[in-house]
Amino acid sequence: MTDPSTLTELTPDRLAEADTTLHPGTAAALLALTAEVHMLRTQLYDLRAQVVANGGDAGPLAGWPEPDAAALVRLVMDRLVTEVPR
Amino acid sequence: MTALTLTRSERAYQDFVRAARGWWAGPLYRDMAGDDTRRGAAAYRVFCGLEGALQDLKYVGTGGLTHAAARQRDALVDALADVPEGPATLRLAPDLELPGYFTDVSFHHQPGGTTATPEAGFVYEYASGSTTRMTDPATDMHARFAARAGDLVAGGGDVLDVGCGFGKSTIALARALPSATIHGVDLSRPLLQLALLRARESELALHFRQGRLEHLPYPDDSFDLVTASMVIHEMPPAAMRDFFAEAVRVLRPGGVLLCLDFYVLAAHDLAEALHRGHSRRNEEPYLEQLFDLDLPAELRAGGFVDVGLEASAQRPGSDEWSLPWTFVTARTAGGPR
Repeated sequence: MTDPSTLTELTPDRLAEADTTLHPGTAAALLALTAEVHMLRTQLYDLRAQVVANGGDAGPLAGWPEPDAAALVRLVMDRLVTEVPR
Repeated sequence: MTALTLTRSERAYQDFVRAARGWWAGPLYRDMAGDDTRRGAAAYRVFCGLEGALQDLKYVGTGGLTHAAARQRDALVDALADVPEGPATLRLAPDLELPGYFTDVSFHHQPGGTTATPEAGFVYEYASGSTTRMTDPATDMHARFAARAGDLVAGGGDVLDVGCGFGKSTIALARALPSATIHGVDLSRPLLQLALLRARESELALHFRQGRLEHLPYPDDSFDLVTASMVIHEMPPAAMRDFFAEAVRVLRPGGVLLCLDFYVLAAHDLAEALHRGHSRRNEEPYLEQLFDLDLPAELRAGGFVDVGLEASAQRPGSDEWSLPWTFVTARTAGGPR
C-alpha cells in the first residue's frame, strides 16, 4: 500500500515546475491534472482530519491547511503565461 | 429542495473549476489587455485554449456534473414526477417537434444539451451558476432583469417569459411583479419540469407551457410584456425574426418586449475578438450571427417601435472579462403605454 505521506510530495510547486516549455495546447491537460490534484489533496485533508478526530497521529500531515483552490490555480496557471513558447 | 448534490470530492473539483474560471476572467484577461504585448500574446493563446476546456471540466471532468447527475438519476427523476401541490402549472406538448437548430448542434459543452436526459435540467441549473457568475447574489442579472421588467409594466399585467428554461428568470419576475400574471414557455421538457418544481417549492402561481418561440401557443393580444433573458442568441436569425413577429402578435397594442442578451454596442478590438471567439469556443452556434445583425433594424422590421439598447455590465466596476450584456426594449405600436 502506498504510504500516504508520500502524497505530500505532490505539491503545487512541483507540479508547476514539471514542464517549463508548455505549449498552449497542453494548457487544458494541465488544468485537468491540477483539478485532479486539488480533489486528491482535499480527500487527503479529509482523511487527515478523520485520523486526528479519532485520536490518531497525523504524522507529516499534521497542521496541513485545507487545500485552497484559488491559490493552486494562481500558482500553477500563472506560469502558463510566462512559459508558453513564443 | 431537490437539487444536484455533489460529493465532497466533486465539490472540491467544481471549486477548482470555478477558481480557474475566476483566474481566467481576471488576471489572465488583464495580462492580455495589458501593455506587455509579449505577455499579452501568450495570455491570449492560453485564454483561448482554456475557454472550452473549463466548460468540459465542469461537465465531464473527473468531478464533472454529468457524472453526479447520472448517479442521482432515479432520485432526480422521482422529484420531477412527484412535485408538491401548488398553484403553478405546466402544460407539456408531447407531439412538439423540436427544431433542428436546437437539436442538431451543441450548446455550452453540456453533453446532449438540456433535453438528452430527464435530469439535464438539474445539471444546467447547477452549471448556470458557475459559468457566467450571473447568479452571484451581488450582481444577479436575473434580479436586475426582473427589476427592469417591473419598471416597464408598473409591477402588474400579463407577462410571458419566453425561453424560460428552469424558471430562474420567471421566478425573479414573479418576485419583482407580485401583481402580474406570469407565463413561461420553453422548448425543453426537462427544463420545464424543473421550472414547475421550483415554482411549486416557492409557492408561486407561474404557468409554464412547452412550445416553440416561432409559434407561441398563445392567442393574439394576450400580454403586456414579453421577456427573453439569454434567449435570442440561441436562435438563428430566421427563427429570431419569426419570434419577433410572434411577440408582436401576442403583445397587446403598446406592449413591451424586453430582452437581456449578448450584443456588442461598442468594443475595442480585443474585446470584439473575444466576444466573437466565445461563440465558437463555448459552443454558441448563433451568437456571432447575432453580432452581425443590426438588431434595432430587425426589431423595427418585425413591427416594433421605440427600440432601445443599453449596455449593462455584468459586474459593475469590475475589470474582469465578461460578455457584452445588453438590455433591449421595444414596443408594439398603439396603446396607452
